[in-house]
Amino acid sequence: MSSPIPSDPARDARPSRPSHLDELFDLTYAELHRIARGLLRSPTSGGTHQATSLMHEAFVRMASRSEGWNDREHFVRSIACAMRRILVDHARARAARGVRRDGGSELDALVAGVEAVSGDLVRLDEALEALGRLDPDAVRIVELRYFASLSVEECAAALGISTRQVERELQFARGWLRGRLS
Amino acid sequence: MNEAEWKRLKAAVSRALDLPEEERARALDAALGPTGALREEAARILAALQAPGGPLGTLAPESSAPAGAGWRPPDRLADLALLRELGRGSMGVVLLAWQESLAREVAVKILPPADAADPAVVERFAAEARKAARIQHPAIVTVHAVGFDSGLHYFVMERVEGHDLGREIELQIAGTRERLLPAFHSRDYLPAVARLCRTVALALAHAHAHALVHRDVKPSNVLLDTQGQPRVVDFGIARDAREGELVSRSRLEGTPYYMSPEQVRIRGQHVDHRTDVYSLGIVLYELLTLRRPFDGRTTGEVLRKILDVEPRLVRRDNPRVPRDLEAVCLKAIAKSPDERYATAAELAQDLERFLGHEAVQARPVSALRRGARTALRRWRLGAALGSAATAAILGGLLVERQVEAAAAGRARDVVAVGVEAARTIARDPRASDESTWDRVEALRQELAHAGGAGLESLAPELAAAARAELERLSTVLTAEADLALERARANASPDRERDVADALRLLERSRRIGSRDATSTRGETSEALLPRLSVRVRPPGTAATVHLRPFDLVRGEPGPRVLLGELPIESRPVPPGWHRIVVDCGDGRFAECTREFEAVGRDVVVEIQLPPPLAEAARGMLRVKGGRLPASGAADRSCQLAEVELEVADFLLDAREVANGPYRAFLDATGRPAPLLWREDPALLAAPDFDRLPVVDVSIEDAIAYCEWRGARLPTHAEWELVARRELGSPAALPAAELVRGSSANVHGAAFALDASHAERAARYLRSVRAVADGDPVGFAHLLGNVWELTESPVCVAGEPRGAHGTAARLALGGAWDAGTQHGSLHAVVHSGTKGAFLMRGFRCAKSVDP
Repeated sequence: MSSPIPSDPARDARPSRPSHLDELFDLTYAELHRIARGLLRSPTSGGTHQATSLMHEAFVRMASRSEGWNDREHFVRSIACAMRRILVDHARARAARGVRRDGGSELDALVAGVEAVSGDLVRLDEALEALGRLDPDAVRIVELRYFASLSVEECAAALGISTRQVERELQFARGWLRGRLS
Repeated sequence: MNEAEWKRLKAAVSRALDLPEEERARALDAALGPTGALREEAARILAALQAPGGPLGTLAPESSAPAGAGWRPPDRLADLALLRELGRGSMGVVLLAWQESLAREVAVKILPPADAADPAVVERFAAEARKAARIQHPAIVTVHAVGFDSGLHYFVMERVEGHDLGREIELQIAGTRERLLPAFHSRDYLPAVARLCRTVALALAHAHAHALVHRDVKPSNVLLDTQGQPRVVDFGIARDAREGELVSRSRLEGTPYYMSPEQVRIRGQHVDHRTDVYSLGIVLYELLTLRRPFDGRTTGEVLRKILDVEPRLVRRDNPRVPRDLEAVCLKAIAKSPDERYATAAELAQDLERFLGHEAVQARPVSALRRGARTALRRWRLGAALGSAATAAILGGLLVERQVEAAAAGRARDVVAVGVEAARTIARDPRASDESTWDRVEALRQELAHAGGAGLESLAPELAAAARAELERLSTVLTAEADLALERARANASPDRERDVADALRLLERSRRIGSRDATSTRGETSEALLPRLSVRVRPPGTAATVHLRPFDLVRGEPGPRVLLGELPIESRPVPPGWHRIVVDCGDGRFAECTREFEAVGRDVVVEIQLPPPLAEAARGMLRVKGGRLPASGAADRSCQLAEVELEVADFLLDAREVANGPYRAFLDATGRPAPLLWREDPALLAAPDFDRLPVVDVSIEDAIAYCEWRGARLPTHAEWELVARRELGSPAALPAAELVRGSSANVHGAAFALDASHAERAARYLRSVRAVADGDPVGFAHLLGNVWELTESPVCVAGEPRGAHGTAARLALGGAWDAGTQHGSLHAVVHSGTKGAFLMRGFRCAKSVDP
């Protein structure tokens, strides 16, 4: 256990960001943009600036924790997860600071915009956590549909199930979450 | 709430949601009892869904629903009292209604007002109704009337009680009682299916006789009444063969599973009534096996399979299907329309013969013929690689793009856009982006496919002009490549490698788009570009011959031995690529290692110990008898394993993954850098049983170095999979991900904890390599799950251009600890140099038995 760990100076000198991430970033820039736009479809949440900053934050988070992705679906699943984390973390920080709807950064405004339609994000997140303990598949679908803005067909393709199944799962999850939040 | 209760709750709520509001409470009582926690929970969920607004209701609106999801239909239309929604079709909402004038229940399809603003959509909607109204058949849903009231376009149809065939298939899979056909495992099921498809075939034949091709035959467009009798519905994208013009806006919006190859290819004029024969054949296949013949996780993958993959034999999935019925089904879904039944009526007749125990006309496809088809496909794979020129044709992406391009406009657009792109590139070849190249590629393909009734005959002048444009571009590229090589030869530039790489790329592209085999006019440069190999053997003075076994990108396996020469081997030019190097003393002693040789010459020096340290004892390894590895045909991430049959020689394989303990000994001995993970989180090293956890966060290069240090190598994908299939008792293919979920392997990891430390995660997810059996190995551990295992095989992925990953990527197999929670494949691509995948990927060593 005590043997010293050899180090690799080249690797230590640079922040390690595998080169495939750059490729991936190029490849999926449009993907991220689409997701961000989807999240911002509500009228109250502003424009391109927010979409861009959300996207960048999502990318940085994913890059710093990359496990490598097997394919686009895996990537989209990871992104859905990252988007959820970003929004919820900001919502939490915002609540802690007592920021009102127009205060602070672009992301604050974004959170306000999203919450205008989703309700309290922190509570929604807690409800999702609870749902995840009972039914992780349902949470995955909700994340893809709402946090990665995939269409029902795309959710179905990403998870390898039928669109009907996706719709059923979504409907049930929506009812369960709303019941819990109301 | 436990899992079983949760499932009960979910099933009860889902079922209740399918019912009219007033019946829901009763259904819940019946399913869950009138009181209790579950019943209350269910009531709360239903109430929450009925309340307007609320969280998640409006966030990211249902962009995918074509029929305006937010809109609510009125209560009445003309003499119709609208009762409730039955479903949403390709272009409208379908409602149950009470027609007061005739006192009967009907179904009403309404075009939502948002769509009614578009005159083209209204025209399509009316055309659909007109066409459907023209045909009367007991197995086609009758259209009673077309109307316009309160600003809404609608038509009135016969109401069919029951459910559609898609739902029926789901119910058969679930094995529930609500099904309308006999149970899948009962004796009556197969005759019932044959009868059902015969009825549908007759209905289609009737429509075809009225010059109406359905073009979207699929389970959800076949309704079953309560007697289990089928009714075909939704001629929504039907094309009127007499009008000749296609109406296909929604074709790609739906599921692609039932599209015929000619629909995928979109040579619009070739799609005739036999496309319906095909789609019905696919429905029959699905009913016989309860699985789709061509499935995939992306549209591109499905489309590629529709074009290229022979369906698995029906009897392989359901041995109870008689050979004759199988032959009928396979004939209906032949890739070429000419090999199918000529008419839907003929298909109906053959099903009739089957039901009457007469010999059917369809002949079983002989093994020889299937073999020939496979051989043809393989030949195409080989040719695609050999000439790189056609490498992208099979790419699913391109197929998809082609489909889109053709659906949006026609070949002319491809040509116009492609010629423009070719001119752009010719102006500055090195500055053009990939999307411009893609447009040229699309043009090239359009021209290559233009035989028959394609572009060539439609517009020969346009085709000739486009060809000339590509020739010109090819010449420009060759010249540009020569310039780059000239610069590289001058060698003054520090960018020499980049210049050479550019030149090679330009030459390849020039060859791809030009008609003649463009070669550099500086042929002699190529020798200088070859990489070189030197072999140093310890103890020095050992006499041995050195052989190369180049890896084959299609098979993912090393090819036959090529003699390089006797020792000493110094700076010997070798072809670029990924090669296994075998040093053979001729007396049973040999060593092997695998190296990549890059096209831009950099000398590779291999140092080898003879005999290798492992040879005497092969500690921890098990000997595996080689054999035949049949093509799995499964939706694998690797084309090789899915489509090519492989022979594997005898070999040795570690019983377990390489653990941290031995890996640390390797680091101590060689001074190689430790995995980044070990330095990022020293707590990891103190994790319980750390030395026995599989080593992770190793790059391909690290893994190869470790193997060689032990005198071994990584296994090839065929070796690994041969063992895995044997061990798992599934000789034809790795088991499907669903089955893996239920297995005892370490595949049950929870969703990745984003805020845990590495050490916490390692403890939570990874399992010790000793966890299966201690002491002497009795079998292989953790082939499935725990960590992805790296192989030395290059990758060829389904749905991507052959060689898309070059030699720089390797296949990893078996899934990691999260395999059971991911719906993915057990094959993954690993790129050279990547360090990611930190808790996900490890490896074990292998060694050949004979040199």
